[in-house]
Amino acid sequence: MNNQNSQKNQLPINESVMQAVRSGMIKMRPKWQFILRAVLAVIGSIVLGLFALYFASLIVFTLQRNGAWFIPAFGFHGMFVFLFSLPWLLILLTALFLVVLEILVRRYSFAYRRPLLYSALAIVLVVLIGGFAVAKTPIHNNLSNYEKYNGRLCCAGMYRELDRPRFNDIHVGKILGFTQEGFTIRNRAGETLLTVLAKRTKMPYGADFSVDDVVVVFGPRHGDTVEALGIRRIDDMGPFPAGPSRQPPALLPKTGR
Amino acid sequence: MDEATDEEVAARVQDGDIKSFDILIERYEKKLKRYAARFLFKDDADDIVQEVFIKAYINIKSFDAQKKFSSWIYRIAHNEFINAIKKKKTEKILFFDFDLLFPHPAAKDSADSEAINNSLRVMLEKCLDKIGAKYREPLVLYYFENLNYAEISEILHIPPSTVGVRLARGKAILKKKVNEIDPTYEQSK
Repeated sequence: MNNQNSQKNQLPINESVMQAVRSGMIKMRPKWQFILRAVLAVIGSIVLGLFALYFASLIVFTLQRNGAWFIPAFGFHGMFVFLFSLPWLLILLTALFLVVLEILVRRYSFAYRRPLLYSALAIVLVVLIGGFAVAKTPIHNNLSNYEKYNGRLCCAGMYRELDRPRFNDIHVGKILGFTQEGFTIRNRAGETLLTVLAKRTKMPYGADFSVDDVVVVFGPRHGDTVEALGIRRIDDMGPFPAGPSRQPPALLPKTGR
Repeated sequence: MDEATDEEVAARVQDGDIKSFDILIERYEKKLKRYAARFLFKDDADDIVQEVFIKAYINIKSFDAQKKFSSWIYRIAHNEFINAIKKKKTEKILFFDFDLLFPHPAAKDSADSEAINNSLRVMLEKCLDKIGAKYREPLVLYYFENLNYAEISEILHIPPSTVGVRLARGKAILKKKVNEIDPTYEQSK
């Protein structure tokens, strides 16, 4: 183009440009190229948004499933453990998707005519609210179960990590029965743990527990005993093994494994 | 002289009447050369303006004839000028600008009198090269191209309130630079 320019520069701009137009040296791009580009940008934004939504919901689901979500209710120590339990890699990945989404959205006049904070907040809010809503649906539970018994998801291994406690002080389990010291729970790994209550055990949402309640117990574990610093009942976030002879849920597709 | 609006002429070019593109070049050549001369201060400003018209012709089918043609072609010019600055590395162009992040108090087109604006234009002519590209560009578009906040917002892809903020800061920098050159200027006014 530089050579073309040097040739054209000997003529006035209008003459050199019109000469290039008439000779066919420069051609108009067809309209379909612009339409295709706009459609691809919209599809790209939607796909990025869906990925961000999926990861945001997975973060919420993971935290609820491993119990970390409920730990801040037990005070500063709980808050500290919660922060260390956050899936930072997933959070960074979600943030990356949000940044790219914001860059794509800023091309449109509804975004660039307003301060960046507005469009960024709108995107974050939609993804957060959507993430909470998706986390409430059985989608992650189903994917987790599917992976557990079939192991064929493209994100193989991701859901398997969910049942692994991320922090030694958080224990989610179903109450099996009561003892003089407290109660016994069965966790998702199938272990039976004795939960020992003490005067300092915090129960911010009451102490009205019964058999088969799902609880999160916060406190250090010594062998099969957990010294409870805090306990609260939570919604059941997935199946607990009934015993050593458990079978995959009937609704899940069976494989040859 | 063709009485049709820019948008009507552009629509004719889109429909294949390539001769009409000459009308658009005639209407915008002086304006874009003036914009380039004040924003870029380069010897090769003509080459860059020529490149703007070539890009405009190639991409004319992406122009929405319901919108203003002037904002569309000035946007192409802005992109070309910024690329030229980046290529020559004469000035720093930041990728991210914190001014865009937060809302600013609603900035309105200032209602300065023509006398004040003329005085500002004289000052600008003296000191434009001493003002950074971020503030120089809205000053050029507002005071020399006579565009309003909404049009500048469309060209630079920034909120109109940010245009107001940049103009105000640009004017403050301008006054400081003028005083540095001629300390008696403020008193003589």
